[in-house]
Amino acid sequence: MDSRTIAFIIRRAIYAVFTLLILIVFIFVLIHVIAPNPISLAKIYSGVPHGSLTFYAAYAKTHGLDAPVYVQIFTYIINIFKGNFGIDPIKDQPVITLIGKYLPRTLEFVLTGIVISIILGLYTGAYAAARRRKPADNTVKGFYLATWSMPTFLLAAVLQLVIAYDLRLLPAINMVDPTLRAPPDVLAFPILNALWARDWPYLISLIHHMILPTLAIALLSFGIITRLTRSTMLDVMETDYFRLTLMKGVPRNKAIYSVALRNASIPLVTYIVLDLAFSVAGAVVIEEIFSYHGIGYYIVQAIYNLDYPAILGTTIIIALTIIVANLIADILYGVLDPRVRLE
Amino acid sequence: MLLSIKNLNVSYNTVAGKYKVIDNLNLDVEEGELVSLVGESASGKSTLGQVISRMLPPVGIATGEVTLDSVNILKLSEKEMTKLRGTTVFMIFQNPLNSLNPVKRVGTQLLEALFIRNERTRHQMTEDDARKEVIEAMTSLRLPDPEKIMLRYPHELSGGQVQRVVICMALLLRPKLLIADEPTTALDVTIQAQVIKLLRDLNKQTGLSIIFITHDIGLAYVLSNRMLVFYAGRVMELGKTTDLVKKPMHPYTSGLIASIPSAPKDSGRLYSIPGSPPSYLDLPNGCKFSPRCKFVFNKCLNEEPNAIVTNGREIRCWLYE
Amino acid sequence: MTDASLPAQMIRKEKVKKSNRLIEYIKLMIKDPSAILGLIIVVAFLGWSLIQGTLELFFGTTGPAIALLPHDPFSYNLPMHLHPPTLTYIFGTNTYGEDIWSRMLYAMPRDAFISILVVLSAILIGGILGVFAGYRGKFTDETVMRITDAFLSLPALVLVIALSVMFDETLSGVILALVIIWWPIYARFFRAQTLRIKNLDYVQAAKLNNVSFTRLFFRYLFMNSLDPIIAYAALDFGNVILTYSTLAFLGIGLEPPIPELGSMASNGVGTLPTGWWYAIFPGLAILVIVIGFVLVGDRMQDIISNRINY
Ligand SMILES: Nc1ncnc2c1ncn2[C@@H]1O[C@H](COP(=O)(O)OP(=O)(O)OP(=O)(O)O)[C@@H](O)[C@H]1O
Ligand SMILES: [Mg+2]
Repeated sequence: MDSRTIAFIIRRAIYAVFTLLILIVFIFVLIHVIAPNPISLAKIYSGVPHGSLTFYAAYAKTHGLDAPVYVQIFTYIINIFKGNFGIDPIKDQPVITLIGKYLPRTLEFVLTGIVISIILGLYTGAYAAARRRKPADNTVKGFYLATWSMPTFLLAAVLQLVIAYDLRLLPAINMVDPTLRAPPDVLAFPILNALWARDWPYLISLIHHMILPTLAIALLSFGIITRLTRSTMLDVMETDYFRLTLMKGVPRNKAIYSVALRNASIPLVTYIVLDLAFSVAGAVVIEEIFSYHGIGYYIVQAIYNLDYPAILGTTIIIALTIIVANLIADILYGVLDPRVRLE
Repeated sequence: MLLSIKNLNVSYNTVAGKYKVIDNLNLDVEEGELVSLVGESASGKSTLGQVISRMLPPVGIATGEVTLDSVNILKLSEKEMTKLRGTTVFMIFQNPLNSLNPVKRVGTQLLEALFIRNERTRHQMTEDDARKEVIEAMTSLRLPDPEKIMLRYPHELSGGQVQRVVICMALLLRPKLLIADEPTTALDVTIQAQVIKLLRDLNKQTGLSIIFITHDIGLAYVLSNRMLVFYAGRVMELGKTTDLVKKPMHPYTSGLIASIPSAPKDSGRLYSIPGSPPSYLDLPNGCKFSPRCKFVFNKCLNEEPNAIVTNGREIRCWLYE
Repeated sequence: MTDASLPAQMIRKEKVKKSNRLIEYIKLMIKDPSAILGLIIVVAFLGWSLIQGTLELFFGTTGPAIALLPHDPFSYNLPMHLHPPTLTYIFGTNTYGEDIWSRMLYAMPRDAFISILVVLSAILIGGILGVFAGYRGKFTDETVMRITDAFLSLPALVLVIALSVMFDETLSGVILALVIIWWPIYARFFRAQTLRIKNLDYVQAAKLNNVSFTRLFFRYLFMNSLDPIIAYAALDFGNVILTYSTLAFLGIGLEPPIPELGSMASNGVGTLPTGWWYAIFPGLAILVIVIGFVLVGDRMQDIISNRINY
């Protein structure tokens, strides 16, 4: 890696920190717009929706909610960087602990689903682009239009109905067979925990339960990735350098899957991160349908219970995940595209 | 005969409508010949080059017969054509600025070309020898510091350097027929002369045939044995370069020659043919050049002349019928 | 530029080109069968929404507002509950025995209204910020783009949920929340476009001609950036409808008796095993509408990037 690439990465990292700060300030401002005085602030931060006035007043005092705004924003930022998102009043545990428990479960199937859809989507997108306007192209287009344009919950519900209830191929709900005892939580991710403890029945049950949600996520982002791949591939296939590659005598298929796909993958990196954000949102719905207890389930519970600390905490943590993913994408972009390093 | 084109018609099927860009073209190119293709912008020069290398965009439709190395390439499948591209026919596209793959080093792309040739000729070559040959080819094109340039990415080169890298690719592939579509536009005069000389030497030494596309008659004069004057997708005049330039017969050819800045007559005043080329969607009825022709008479407006051969020259004009 | 009349000429030329281009555009649109299909869907959906929406606006849930529908969408008919599709009830009935097709028709204006409002507001906000950032450059640009990045990294759905809960879950709260997450992508588009066109001749000419800043901003930069953005926006209407339907599934942003396609489909999810039609038909309606928008948007994209020919 040359010095230019490193400088590029450092600048992107600084951008990421700025982005996070702006985000936190936005959320802070938002809370203060909704709750302009210490009492209503206490109502939000304490997570107790129907407390007494004296309780809120006391809470505001102990948590410095009556301090000047600039002090408050400072404390808020410090708290967030310390991972202090408050206490979840319903589960009576720190929000950060609960996120640490639920987020890995979601990432497990969301990342698997995305990886599957990237591999498939890149391939089908390139395949369709290579056969533009031919029946194969139209079939691919029809398929991704259908999976993409269907509301996520309906897609998941239909999958569940057909595969789990009608055909009885896979379990319909839950993350794991509830009769099994969970192995000790060492590595945060349930699958890794099961592997660590060599608890095979538990592992198999986990994977069994994971297939349908993963499939739903994969179908959800498959459309986006295929469509983007197809259109960027078409752009590349019209460039002079692609034509010169053919002119040299490189077989068309080789040119498509090496030169064109390689160049098309550069802009795709950014989109795949957007897709991650999109899929996390999809996970909320999918977890609800499959009663899969991940971060989405936690968010939905928080919404039903008007549990503000949980809502704010998850929003920030997920945004942070996306920012980090964005940073990785930027770096990848720099590695993939020699032109970026010039900037 | 290396290349023989018979009754070639090319149309573009666009949203604006379908229009014919090349009309009933016939052309033979012998091995070792240097043919230049001149004509104003949009006369269909690049289109012809793309037909011969079968690189027309999907909207372009070519009918007729293009026999290259004794096969009709218009009838070949994409797979069979791939085997001819590169080593039998190679085209340097116009505007080579974006012709190199932005994510691969220049050296890799040049080596790739060399490997394709070696593979086709079943020639074994060590990595080192290949590198040496690439560097040699680059040196012959006056590319400074070839080793360094090989390690660079295309965006780190100047336009003229990219152009020479693409020409270098042609040298490495050693095609039988090279189509060079205005290959020297981004080069300064000294290097341009160098490249032209190199192409001529190659032709002498290896018998490489070249179709040289340009709108600079001066360049065409220096380089080619035969010249083909193109107007609205039709051959207006075709003959030995020296004859054609010294004694142009077709009014269009004379017009073109008169507009060369260094032409001796009318010194000081720059001549240009009045009017502008017609739109393919709305071509004039008779001779396509008639609206701009000094010698136009009635017949020109109603009937299109056929190509006839006089004095070893092919010409399409009513003046000579 | 010595000739004072030159910029004025250029300005006029721009105008002529615009109106011609619209006709040209429409001609190109209807040359592609799938784009025609998309146009039919979109025009039918928007046209129906306009008519029915006007009626609903003035008459609420009774009288003329339901005159065009095959059945009263609000008439409980418990003996007929969850009845499969028949000739009278072409899409069957829901758990209350209400006609699903009538309720879908009644629901459409709401989806049209929400998507149009969200996308247009996002274009306006994103456009102003994006053009401003692109035009001013330097520090302004950096600041606006970092803010945009921050918003882009918010997972759309999670923020909408968070915001709409805070804004008391009313329809306007949801719309506001949707707008807040919808503008950044447009800001990026507009900025990129502005960077591209701000140095073009006619913009420079307008500047030399002392065109006022607001005019320069809106007529020259904003309006001329619009082309590729409209193509994306066309497809984006569908995205809003999808996101909104997801919110409806999570029980956010709807006033219960009033039907909306997303909420109808999500209410039906519970009865999928016994009455598939309850969820499937409203879901299919969403699917068809979204596909319609995508087909139109795709074709526009093709026209703009000159990929129309083949
Ligand atoms: N891909 C295409 N689609 C539609 N029309 C095309 C396409 N390529 C070329 N044409 C049209 O064909 C005609 C001939 O173009 P061509 O590029 O062959 O001209 P040329 O003689 O090479 O001109 P120049 O000297 O400017 O390079 C032009 O009218 C051009 O508009
Ligand atoms: Mg040309």
